[in-house]
Amino acid sequence: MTPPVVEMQNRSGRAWLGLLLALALSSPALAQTARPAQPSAAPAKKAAPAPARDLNGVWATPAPDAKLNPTAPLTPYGKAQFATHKSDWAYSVAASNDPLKTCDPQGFPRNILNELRGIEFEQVPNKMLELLQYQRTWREIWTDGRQLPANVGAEGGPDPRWYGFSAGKWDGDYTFVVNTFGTDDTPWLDRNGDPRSPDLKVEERYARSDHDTLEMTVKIDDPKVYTMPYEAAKVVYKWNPVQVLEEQLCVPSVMANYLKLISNPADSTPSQGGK
Amino acid sequence: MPKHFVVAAITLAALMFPMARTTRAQTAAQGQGNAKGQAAPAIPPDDESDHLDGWYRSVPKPAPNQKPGPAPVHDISGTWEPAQGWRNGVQAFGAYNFPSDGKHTLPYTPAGEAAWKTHKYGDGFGSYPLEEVNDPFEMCDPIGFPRIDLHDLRAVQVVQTPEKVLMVYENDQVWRDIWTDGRDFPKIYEPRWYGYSVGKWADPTTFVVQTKGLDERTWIDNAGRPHTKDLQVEERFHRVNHDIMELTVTIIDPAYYTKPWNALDKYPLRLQSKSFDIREMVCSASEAAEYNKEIGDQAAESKGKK
Repeated sequence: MTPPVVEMQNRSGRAWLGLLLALALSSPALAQTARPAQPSAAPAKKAAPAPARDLNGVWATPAPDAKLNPTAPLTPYGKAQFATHKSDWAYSVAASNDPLKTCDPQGFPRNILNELRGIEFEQVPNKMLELLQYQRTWREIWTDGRQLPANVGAEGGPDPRWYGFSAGKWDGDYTFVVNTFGTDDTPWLDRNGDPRSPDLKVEERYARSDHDTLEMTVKIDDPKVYTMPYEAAKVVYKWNPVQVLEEQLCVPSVMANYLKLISNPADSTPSQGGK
Repeated sequence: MPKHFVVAAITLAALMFPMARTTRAQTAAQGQGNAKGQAAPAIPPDDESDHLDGWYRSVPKPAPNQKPGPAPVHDISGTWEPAQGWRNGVQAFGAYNFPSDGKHTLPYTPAGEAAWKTHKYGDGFGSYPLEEVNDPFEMCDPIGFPRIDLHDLRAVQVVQTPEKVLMVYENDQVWRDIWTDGRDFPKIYEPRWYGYSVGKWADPTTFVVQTKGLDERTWIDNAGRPHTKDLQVEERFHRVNHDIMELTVTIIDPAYYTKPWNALDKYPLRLQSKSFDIREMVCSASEAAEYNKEIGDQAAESKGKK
């Protein structure tokens, strides 16, 4: 367990949780992430043109976390929510209350902003399926022209969902646009603990510039929490020549043991962080 | 505080909240058997939510007396649900064809039976007191394979690509890859919760999947049937006609079972419409813990009053 000791000395909460999550992932966790989900290091040659209206395949991500842009200014409601979130960027792991610490679902849109380990798209009749390596979850993005449900959470309407309700369409031949509504507001918006409300609307744009390159842009619109819409992140995915997503599951029992035996005792003193 | 109470509430939860968001605990009885000294809970009548998909759109019932079209060749794609309705796939008391009901006896080896006795399941004949239950799925550890077929088998979407078949499950919001590109199993591998799967067509309408490399921590079904790391599972997806597909799941694990046994035997699944939205069924560890505590408190309070 050398790496955790080193990280403990560094008192880097972020590195800590990242390592902790890796250790709790699947069985035996770390070993299963060994297969690279990264593009080949071979000399670059010009990629083939992007096929029209086609995202099918496995895409690799450059880093586990999207580089987050600053959020729009918070409303008073948003500030109150944010004040209760103790991320591992600002607190030690023991002091953090990140829901991911217990392997709770990431929910949407955190699953497209955090723990980006590889994704796969498969277009099937009426919908686009998105498969995510981390936590091995999937989403359905309807392409049959349906409208997003307006009565989520209302009597007679569907309950909010961890991954919301998504509908997508092509903007031209190379950009797929997804709109999502009806998300459960329990998960954090991202790893930073940025808040969200049940009114959250998210727009994702997947722009394929050539065969090997897919740029995702994520826009957040949640007037209850943020004073204006904002762009949360851009992530450039690359075609994964291996075309495999590994099994990478967060296992609550493994995580609980790790927290109990190592993380919590190690973090018995206050972190230098905090809001 | 008694800890393991989620199973106690399983049937109740299924009866009351068939589409609630924390549906991991929603194991409903299917009339397979009953716990020691307890009456089997009645299967509730259909309610409206039984016929709604994830967008709360109505799921049409099959038209009576309408003859289905023929099975297409080499095609099992689409979204399938248990033909008798999703409650039928719950398999609360263990694999559908071998429920823990005191009547179905599995061909255990001594080692297999000993391993089974360490698994303290919460439903079915011989189930354990709630505070002793040690079901790993109770705290939202991955359900794994083959339990994903044998416990809470609800909607599953099959996607065929040139290289593989994807199984996209309602339960636990998880998916599997079944490789059809001719590859063999890896020679060296780490055990996985969902193993390593390869598949091929046995005939124009039967897709056969072999799976190995499964993590021993998982249970085979909700009755705690155990397996070793050498477990091999065969799934046969036989499309009978356009609308119906039968699933047979065979368990092969000589260290624990003296002969292979069929956990599912031609279990019928019905094709759903292309607009069917799979309901969300996600396990939240913190909600499960809260739920366990709440149910435990209620049980302790009830016990104190007696």
